[in-house]
Amino acid sequence: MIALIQNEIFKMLLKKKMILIVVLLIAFIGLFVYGEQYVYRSAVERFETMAENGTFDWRILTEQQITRLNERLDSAYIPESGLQSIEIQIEQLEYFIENNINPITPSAARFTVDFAEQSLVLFIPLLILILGADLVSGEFSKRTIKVLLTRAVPRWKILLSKYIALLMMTTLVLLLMGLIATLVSGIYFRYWGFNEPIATGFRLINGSLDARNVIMITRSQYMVLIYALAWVVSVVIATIIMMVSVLVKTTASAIGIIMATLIGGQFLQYFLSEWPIAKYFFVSNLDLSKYMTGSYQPIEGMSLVFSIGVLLSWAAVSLLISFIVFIKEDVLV
Amino acid sequence: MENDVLQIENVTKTIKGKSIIKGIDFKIKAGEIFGFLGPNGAGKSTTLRMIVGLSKPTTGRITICGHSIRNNYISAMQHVGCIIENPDLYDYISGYKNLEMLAAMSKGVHHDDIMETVVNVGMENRIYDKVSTYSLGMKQRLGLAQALMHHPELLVLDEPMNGLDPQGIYMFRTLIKRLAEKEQIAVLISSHLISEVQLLCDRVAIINDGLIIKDMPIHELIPSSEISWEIVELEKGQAFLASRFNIAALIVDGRLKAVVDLKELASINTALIAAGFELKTVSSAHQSLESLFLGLTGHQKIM
Repeated sequence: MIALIQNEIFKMLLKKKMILIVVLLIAFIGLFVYGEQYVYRSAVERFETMAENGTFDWRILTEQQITRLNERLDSAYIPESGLQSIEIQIEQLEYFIENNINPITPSAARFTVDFAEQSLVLFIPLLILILGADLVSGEFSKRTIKVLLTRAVPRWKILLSKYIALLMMTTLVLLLMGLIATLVSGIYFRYWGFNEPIATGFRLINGSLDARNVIMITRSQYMVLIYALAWVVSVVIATIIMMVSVLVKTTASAIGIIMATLIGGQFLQYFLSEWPIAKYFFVSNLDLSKYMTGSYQPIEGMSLVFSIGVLLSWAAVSLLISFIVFIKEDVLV
Repeated sequence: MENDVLQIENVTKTIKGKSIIKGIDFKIKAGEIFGFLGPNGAGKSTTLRMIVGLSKPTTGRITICGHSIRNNYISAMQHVGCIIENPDLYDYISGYKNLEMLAAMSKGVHHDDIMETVVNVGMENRIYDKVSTYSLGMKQRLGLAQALMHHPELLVLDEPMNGLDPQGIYMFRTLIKRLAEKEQIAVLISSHLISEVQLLCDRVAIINDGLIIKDMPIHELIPSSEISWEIVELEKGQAFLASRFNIAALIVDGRLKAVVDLKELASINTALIAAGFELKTVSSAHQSLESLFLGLTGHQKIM
């Protein structure tokens, strides 16, 4: 079994996929780090030209943000659900000021988390797609499936070795992402901020933010938490990608189907509050990190437990379908 | 029977409601080279895929070295090596790495076994090059290496001569014959070329439209063939053949032509040479699969 997994990892590495993934990660992280620093610098400059004493204070800037949000609350054009989300944001910012948490200055720890949160619904799935789209379909389109399945090895072992290899590589990609994001942003911002506190554990009760269960943890602890959630999401995505790769016989169609599902699933988000079935679609539940900070628009019936439950159910069904089809099918290529 | 490496009993296969294999039976003994002859679409490839585990029979039993592939897949497959259609291997890595990866999937196949097989198929000079740089002939040899490195008792080859040059075909044939003779490997070869089967196989089954219509030793199936001898003294030779072997040969285009029993051909040639005839060439007119079918089935058309 170990030899089989080694073979599969070897195949992935020799297709030079990891190089592509690392290049993509460095490019995107570099771009985002630069963008974040740019936005921060212009905010500071704006503040310094406007303020009389000329020195930057994050408290005043945060209070300004609260004022702006309050103004938006009075606007007649924002729907009911939008208002709720703004109220939650205001409450959070007030919480930050009360507890002396600087939400503005960019730090490596915060960037690394933000990057994971932003890439959870599309970028991370696409990286896993690079790894796994041809997992089985590639063996069919290159016809190498014939040498693979005529060995004295049962088919379930072959698929299992492929699955384990994909999960291992997926984990590696997430670790690399955390590492590259931390290093690049840390070197650029010159501020790590691992020990900064962050508030988590916000609960929604009747649409308003309940801060009674809020706990203060350090940024580094929060980073581990978010990357753990990202890992759960990645495992589910990897499993679904494997199923598609088993079901279709060419890598191109596997990529097409997954991309269409991910992007189409984003559109479904708009119906989430009106159309109850939409929340059982896996793409609607990918953004697990939003449950952590309370800065999101609440949807009736959706919670961290609900979303993980939906995702794991999708993974379980995908796994079952993958194995049944792979074991039963006649290889006719 | 103890001696049977492969047993096919009443195997049928239905794909999408269409009956592809309609109940076939045959056996292959150790050391036997078995030809599976039939036109395209007759069910050769489907049958071979069922034997090597790529496809499952709808009904019937396939037994390899006493192990049923349905109930005892692993033990059965340990004894099988195969090339199905083209020898497709991973082209982004070297031939050696391909073999090493596949060897890791079988028990007890080490570097020495791989290298021994590589030398056997004559690939030792290019084995560390990427497969994408290989010619079709080299890929075919590499395919043979992956089929042989775990020392199988049954070798299944689906149309193995396709795309090989004459030298490659010769090497291939010599290697297969040696394996069958020395290592007592049972070989199953599918082909749509009667000449190929005639030169290589001990036994042949003819399949058409999902049914085996004939299963017999090759010399019984093709007992006689039109032979032409190119010799200097034609009339003298004609008389010699008539008196010595009771063969009525004709003189056509400076050659002697006659239909003879193939079992006797060698002794006729020896006798001709011993009698001092200057024998330039001997050739046999290959009977076409079509004419063989016509004789066997009476059908004009191959279905």
